[in-house]
Amino acid sequence: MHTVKMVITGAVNSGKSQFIRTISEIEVVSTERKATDEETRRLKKETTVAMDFGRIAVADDIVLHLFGTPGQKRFDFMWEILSEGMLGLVVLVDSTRPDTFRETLRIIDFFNAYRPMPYVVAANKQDEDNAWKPDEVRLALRLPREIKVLPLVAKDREQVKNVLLELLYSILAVAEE
Amino acid sequence: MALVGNLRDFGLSDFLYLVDRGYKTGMLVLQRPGDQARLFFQNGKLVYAIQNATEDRLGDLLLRAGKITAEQRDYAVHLQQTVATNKPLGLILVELGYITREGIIRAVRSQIEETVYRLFSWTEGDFRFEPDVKPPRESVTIPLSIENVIMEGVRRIDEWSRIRDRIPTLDVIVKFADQPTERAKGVNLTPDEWRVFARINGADNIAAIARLTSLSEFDVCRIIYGFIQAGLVEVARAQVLIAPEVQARARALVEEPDAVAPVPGDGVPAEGTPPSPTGPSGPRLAPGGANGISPEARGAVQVRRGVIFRIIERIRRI
Repeated sequence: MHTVKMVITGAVNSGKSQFIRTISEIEVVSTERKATDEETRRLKKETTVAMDFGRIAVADDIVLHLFGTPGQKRFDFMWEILSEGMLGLVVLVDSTRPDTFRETLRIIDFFNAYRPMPYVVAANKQDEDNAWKPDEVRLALRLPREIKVLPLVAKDREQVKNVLLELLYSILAVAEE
Repeated sequence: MALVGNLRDFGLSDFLYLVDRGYKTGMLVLQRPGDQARLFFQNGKLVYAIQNATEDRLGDLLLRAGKITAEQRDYAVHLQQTVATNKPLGLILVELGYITREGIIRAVRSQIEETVYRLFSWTEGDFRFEPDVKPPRESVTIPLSIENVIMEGVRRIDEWSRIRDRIPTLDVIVKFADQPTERAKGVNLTPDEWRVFARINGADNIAAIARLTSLSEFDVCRIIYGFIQAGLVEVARAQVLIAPEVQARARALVEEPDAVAPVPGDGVPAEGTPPSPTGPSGPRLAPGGANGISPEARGAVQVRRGVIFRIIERIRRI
């Protein structure tokens, strides 16, 4: 059985859970490490690890796993686990929130420094009035031309499919070099 | 559609870079309590700027700059309103001999530059970019290179917090952007900036450059921050270390989450806390770009090409 892993990452509220929910064949599994006592509840921010997991059966012998992982620095250690067998990743950006661009930059910088791999950026929430366009997101994040910045409404299955397909094409392009 | 945000989250130099590279035309309005500025752009060039002025007229600008007297301004305006209705005020002033054409350009240029440089000290303030809005009808516009504006503006930055956004650690290594010579043509550098510029080799980190130039680490960071903001150089790579105890803890968390106690300092930084000095930093790489994909990732892809084709087919059918 081939298990292929793709990671969906991005800043808080960038749409990771919705993205996976839209495309996954199974009910998305969302995990959260619950605070167990008063002290940890008080420090809830430091004691919660939220992950989303979805799956697409490709064939009897191939399954695609989708992991939605927080991008904050405190979850750096998760990359150690997720990067095993990972082919590429989707970085989601909340196009309506320029205040999250800085965090997105840190996420991209982190995984590039940790283990560079193919990725695409999806400018989510394009259906909202104040969304920055993909080209503007590209400039704001200073992404090179080779990186695809794709429009996205994470509730729209066709657009989610498009993002995953574009990532797969980028992965193939790497393979063909 | 207007682009809106706050300078706290997306700095002025970031926005100027976006305008420059996006060849945008329009008006950027910056606002904070009791303070407002408007910058006008034409195809990515800064062409006009004004701050806290309800009067955009050229005559008032030249009067404020001490280039003409109030009487000269009033007379020129009178002529424009009575006998020379189709003539720009600037031309009337030149024909009257009150000021030269070059004098007008210098005064306007100075106003634009000083206005925008002052704005670099704003650490927060709402901004709104309205595409295709033109400068006031009578204003004299002068296209200015954004790279120079950024370099000069950054010279006036004196806080670590903004610089750390791009340069979180002295281990950062920078390299020249794709066409540094082309981009550097229009930029004026100070002697110290040249000293740093000449030391950039894609191998030495910032700490080494500071040692080699005998400049302070802050000065080197500020200078390199300016280069980055102006698009002259790019962050090449900084090492990311994951401590063995963190790796062990990660594994334990996956295997037995409740048994792992939280570690002090593993939390979200407090609001406004600068990035960790040991935090990660690196390039935003393209697949197969100059810095390349890691051998592990490339190897995984090679092995699984057939699988990838099947996934593509499967996703197309969803």
